[in-house]
Amino acid sequence: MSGSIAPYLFEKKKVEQGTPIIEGLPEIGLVGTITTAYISSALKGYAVGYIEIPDVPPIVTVLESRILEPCRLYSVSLEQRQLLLLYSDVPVPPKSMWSIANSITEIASTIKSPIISVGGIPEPDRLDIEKPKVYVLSNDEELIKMAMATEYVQRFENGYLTGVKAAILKSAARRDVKVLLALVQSHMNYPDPGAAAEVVTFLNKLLGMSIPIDPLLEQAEQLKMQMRDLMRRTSTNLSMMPIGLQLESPPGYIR
Amino acid sequence: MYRRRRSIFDIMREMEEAFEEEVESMLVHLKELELSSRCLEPFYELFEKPEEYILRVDIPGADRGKLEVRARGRLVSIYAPCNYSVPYRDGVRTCATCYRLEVELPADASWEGVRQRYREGVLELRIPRNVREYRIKIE
Repeated sequence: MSGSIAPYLFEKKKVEQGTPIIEGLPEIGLVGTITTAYISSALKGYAVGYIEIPDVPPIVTVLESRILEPCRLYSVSLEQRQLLLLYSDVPVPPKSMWSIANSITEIASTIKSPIISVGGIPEPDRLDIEKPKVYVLSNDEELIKMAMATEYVQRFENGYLTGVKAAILKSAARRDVKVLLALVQSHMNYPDPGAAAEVVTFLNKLLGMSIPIDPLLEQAEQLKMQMRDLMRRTSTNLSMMPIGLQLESPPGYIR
Repeated sequence: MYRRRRSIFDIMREMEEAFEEEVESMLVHLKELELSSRCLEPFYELFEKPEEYILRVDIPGADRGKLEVRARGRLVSIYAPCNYSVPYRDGVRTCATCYRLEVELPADASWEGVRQRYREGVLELRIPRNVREYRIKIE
């Protein structure tokens, strides 16, 4: 492991080169947060690093008397395979998004890993949708082929992306990092464990895992209650972003 | 006396900081209210459609059998007992016993024929609009 990522990876246990990083920072429906938290607890993840969120007052998380950084990297192992999960207890303010995205791509570039960025796309009629669709987008043809081969997703064709995910795509292009976005139809203003379950199912197929989703669905209402405060802060943050763009389609006149 | 004009960026930064302070103060106030009253204000969305309003209220963990929805004038009140308890500090849990919400709807909301459903912890009310429509002939 290179020393250049020392500010982020504090755990001495080895992080393998090429380990996929699953990014699930708090955004629409807290889909990424629920997904990464669930995978980490299902596979008994341990914190291996953190990313400093700039431009916010000092914050630490205290969990069972342990002092933690709010934005943490977890490592999980599954059948001799390692995954890194990026999870945050606090939303990323819009002014810190570029910096966070740069930190994520810096880590990915150093350990030569792809980033799998998971999240929600707002769906006003989500309540009528039994099984939300997962859309994928990538800057790498191989990754998109792998995703489509799961036969569980559709290609994201037209639209806009805003927030951390857009910043990651832009930053990744500059560092030549491969990114796969997996976005699921989701409630915009409420935590959506049902949508997160679809993302976990897709990741199971993509990465050859078999994490059961039933426990996630059974705990859905409890999870929603526990994530109320984070959802409220995330919604406040999202209100400062042009999130409505994600419901619009680009003019598409020039191709 | 000469006075240097402030940069537009300084003004924008000040406005941004003032907005952030306002938001933080609102969040603190809301949380204090929830903690002291042990009553949660649920997240909700109100959509306006040509023929109805759709009010969706997120009340996970609510006791569905004891859900109360009352309408008076333009005001709809929702009360739902729940059992919210999450770890807070050592030996302390934040608790709440109910959700409570009051929403004022536009004047043309009509309580006759309201449809409701409760799914995945979300209560949805579809409230018809009392719209009188006139067709204007264009010659």
